[in-house]
Amino acid sequence: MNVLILQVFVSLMLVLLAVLGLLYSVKHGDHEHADRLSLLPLEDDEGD
Amino acid sequence: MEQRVITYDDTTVRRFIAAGVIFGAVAMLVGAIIATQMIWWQANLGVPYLVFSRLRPLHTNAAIFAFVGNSMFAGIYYSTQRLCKARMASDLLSKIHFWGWQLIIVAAAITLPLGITTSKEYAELEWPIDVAITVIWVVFAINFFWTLARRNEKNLYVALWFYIATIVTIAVLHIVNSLEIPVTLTKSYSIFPGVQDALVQWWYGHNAVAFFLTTPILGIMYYFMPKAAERPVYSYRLSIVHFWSLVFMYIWAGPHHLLHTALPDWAQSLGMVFSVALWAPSWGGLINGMLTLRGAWDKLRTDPVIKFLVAALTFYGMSTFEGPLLSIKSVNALAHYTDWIIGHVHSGALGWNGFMAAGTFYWMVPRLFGTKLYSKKAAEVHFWMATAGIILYVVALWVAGISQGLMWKAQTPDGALAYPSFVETILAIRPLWMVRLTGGLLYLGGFLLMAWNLTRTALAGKAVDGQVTVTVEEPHAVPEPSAGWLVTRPGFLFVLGAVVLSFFLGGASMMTGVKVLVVLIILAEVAWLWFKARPRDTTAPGWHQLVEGKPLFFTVLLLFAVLAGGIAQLIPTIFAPSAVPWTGEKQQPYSPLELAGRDVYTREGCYVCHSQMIRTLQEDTQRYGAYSRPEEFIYDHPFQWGSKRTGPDLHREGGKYPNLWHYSHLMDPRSTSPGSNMPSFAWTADYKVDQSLLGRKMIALQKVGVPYSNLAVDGARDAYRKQADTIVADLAKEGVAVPWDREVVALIGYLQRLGRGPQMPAPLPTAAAPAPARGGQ
Repeated sequence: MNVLILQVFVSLMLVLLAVLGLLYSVKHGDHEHADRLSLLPLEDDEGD
Repeated sequence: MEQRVITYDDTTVRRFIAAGVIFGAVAMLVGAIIATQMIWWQANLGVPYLVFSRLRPLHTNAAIFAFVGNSMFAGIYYSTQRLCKARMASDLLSKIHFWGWQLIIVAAAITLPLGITTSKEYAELEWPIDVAITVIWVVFAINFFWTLARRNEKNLYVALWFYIATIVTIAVLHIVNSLEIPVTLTKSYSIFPGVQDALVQWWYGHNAVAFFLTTPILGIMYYFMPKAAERPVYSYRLSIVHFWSLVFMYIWAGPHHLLHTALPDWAQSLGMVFSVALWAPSWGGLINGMLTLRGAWDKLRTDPVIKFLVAALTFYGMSTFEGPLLSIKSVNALAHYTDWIIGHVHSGALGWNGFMAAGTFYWMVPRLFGTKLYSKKAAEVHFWMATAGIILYVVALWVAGISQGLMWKAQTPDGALAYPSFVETILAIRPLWMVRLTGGLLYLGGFLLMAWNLTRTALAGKAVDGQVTVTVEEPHAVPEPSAGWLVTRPGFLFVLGAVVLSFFLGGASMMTGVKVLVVLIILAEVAWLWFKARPRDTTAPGWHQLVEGKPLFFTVLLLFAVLAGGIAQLIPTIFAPSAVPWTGEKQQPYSPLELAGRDVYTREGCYVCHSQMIRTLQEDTQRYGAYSRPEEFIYDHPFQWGSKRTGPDLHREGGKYPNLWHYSHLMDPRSTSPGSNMPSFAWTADYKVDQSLLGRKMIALQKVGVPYSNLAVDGARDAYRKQADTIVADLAKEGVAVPWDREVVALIGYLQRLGRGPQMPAPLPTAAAPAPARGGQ
C-alpha cells in the first residue's frame, strides 16, 4: 500500500511538472525558433 | 569570420550500409530456416548447431543488432555530420566502432549455435561479448558527443535528440541487464533471481525495442523524410512534445511482457497503463512523419524511396497501436505465448525497421557513389514483394495466434478442456506457418533484389564524400543562466521539494499521503499564479531553445527522464523487504545434478518453446496445475519463464511422467507425442557433463545469494553421482542403458524437479538455516 501511495504521488508530480513546463513554453512563445530548425535537413550539401 | 569547407566521413557510412545489407540477408535467411523447421523439424538435419532453439537467438540478435544496428549507424553517421555541419570527430573511433561491431556480430554467430548463451532474450551473448559491446558503445558515444561538441550548427535538430536518447539509454539498459557472475569464459549466471530477473530482463527487453529499434529510427525518419519529400517536418513543436513523452513513457512499459505472471500486480498494472498511454507519443511521431508529405503526395506514386518511408510509418503506426492493445490485461490473456506476439514483432521489424532501412539505403547509396539508382523498377518490385510478404506473414500469425489462444481456452460443456493435447493446437496452425514462411521468403527475395540493385549502383559510380561550406564566427558572449539562478527557480525548488517528500511518503499512511498531496497541489497553484504574474523578457531565448543548444545539459535531462521508470519499477522489487516465504519444500536450491541439467536446458534453448510460468488464468491452471508463485523462483539464476509456447508449459512437469517418458521424449519427441514438431536432442545422451565445473557453479551462485553450504560444494560430485545413479537405475529397469555422466540424465533430473522440492536421495548438507538472498523479492 505504501508503494502505491509513493508511486501515485510521484506520478502526479511528474505529470504536473510536465504540464507546467508545456504551458510555460507555449505562453513564452518558446518554439518560434523551431521554424528555422525544421529547415535544417533541407539545406543543400554539395554531395546530396 | 572565415569560410571553411567540411568534408564528411562517408566511408564509414558506406561500410555500415554494406554491413547492414549483408547481415540483413543473413538474419532473414536464418529466420527462413527456423520458420521451415517449425513446419518440418527435420530441416535441422540432426545437427546440434542448427537446432531451432539455438538458431532462434541467432536470428533475433542478427535482425536487431546486425541488421538494424548497422543500418541505424549508417543513418546516424550520415545525418549527424550534416546536421552538425561537421565531420565525425575521429576517423579512428569511427573505424573502431565499425570493425568492433562486426567482430561482435561474428562472435554472436559463432557462440549462439554452440549453445553459449545466457538465455536472456536479446541479451543472450555471454559476458566477454557483453564487455566488448560496452567498449564499442562507449567508443560510439565518445565519437558522437565529440562531434556534437565540434558542430558548426548551434541548435540540435530533433533527430540528434533521438540519437542522444538511444546512446544514453542503451548504455544503462545493457549494463544493468548484463550484470552476471561469471563461472567460466563461456558461462555466467544472472545476479538477479526469479521475479527480479524477469522484471529486469523485460525492462531491458522492451526498451531494447524502444531505444534500439524505435528512437534511432525515428531520428533517421526525421532527417530522411524531409530530405526525400523536400518538405520541412510537419510540426517541430509536435516533435518536441512527442520526443519527451516517448522517452519518458517507454521505459515503464516492460512489465506488459509479464501480465498474469508471478510479477507483483502493481508492476503489471503500471506496465499496462504506461503501454496504453504510449500510443499517444508514438502516433505523434507517425503524424509528424506522414504530414511532412503534405503537398508532396504525388511523390508516393513516382518515388520508391517515399513508398518505403511512408509504408514504414504506416507499419509503425500499426505496431504502436497493436502493442498498447496487446498490453491490456484481458487482450494479453488471449495473446501471450501465442503467434500473435510474433506477428506483432514482425510487423514492426519488417515493416518499420526493414522499410526504413530500405528507403534510406535507396536514398543514400546513389548519392554516396555520385550516380543514380541502378534500377528504379527493381526498387518498385522490391517494395511490392516486401509489402505482400509482410501482409502474408502478419495475417497468418494473427490468425494462428488467436486460434491457438482460443483453443487453449476452449472448454467442453461440462467444463473440461476441449483440446487437452497441446499438440492438437500446433497441428491446427501448421498450415498458417506455411503461409508465414511464404511471406517471409517473399520479403527476403525483395531484400536480395535490393542488395543486387545497390551493388550495381555502387559499381556504376565512384565513392563520393559530401561537403559543406560553413562560415565560422568568433564565439560571442551570450548571457546565459548561471547555476545560482537555476537553483532558485520556482520550478526547480518545487521538484526538489517533491523529491524530498517522496522519500518520506514510503512509510506514511494513506491519510498522511493524501494530506501532503493536497498541500503540494495548493503550493503548485500558488507558485503557478505568482509565476504567471511576473513581467517577462520576451527577447530572451526560451528554456527549450537553450536546452537544444546544450548537448550535455540535454543529455542529463534525458537521463533523468529515462531513469525514472526504471527506478520506480526495479528498486521496490530489488530492495524491498522480502514479501515471499523463504522456507518450504520448493524453496530449496537445485542439487548439483539438477543445476547441471538446468544449464543443459538453457544451453539448448528449451525456454524458446517451453514456458515455465503458469498464469493466474483458468485456461492455464486447468491445463498445467496451480499457478506459479514468486517464491518458487527465488534461486532461479537466470529465470526461465519463457515468452512463447510452441510446446506446453513445464513449470509443474516434475513428477508428471516417469523418467523413461522424458528419456524417450528427448531422444524422439514423436515417440511420446505424435505430431509434435519438437526436434530430437539425442546428442544429450552422448555428451558428458563436465564434473569439474559443478563446484565452481555452486560457488558462483553462492555469491549471488543461493544458500549452498561449503559442505554441499565439496560434496557436489558425490551428490551428483548418487542422484544420477537413481535415474540410471530406473531407466535400466525399463531396458534403457545410459551412463550416469551423460547430459540427458542431468536434464531428466532437472525436469523432474520442476514445480517440486529436491529429488535427491539425501538432502544437500547445510551449515546453517538458509538466509534471504541479497535484496529479496
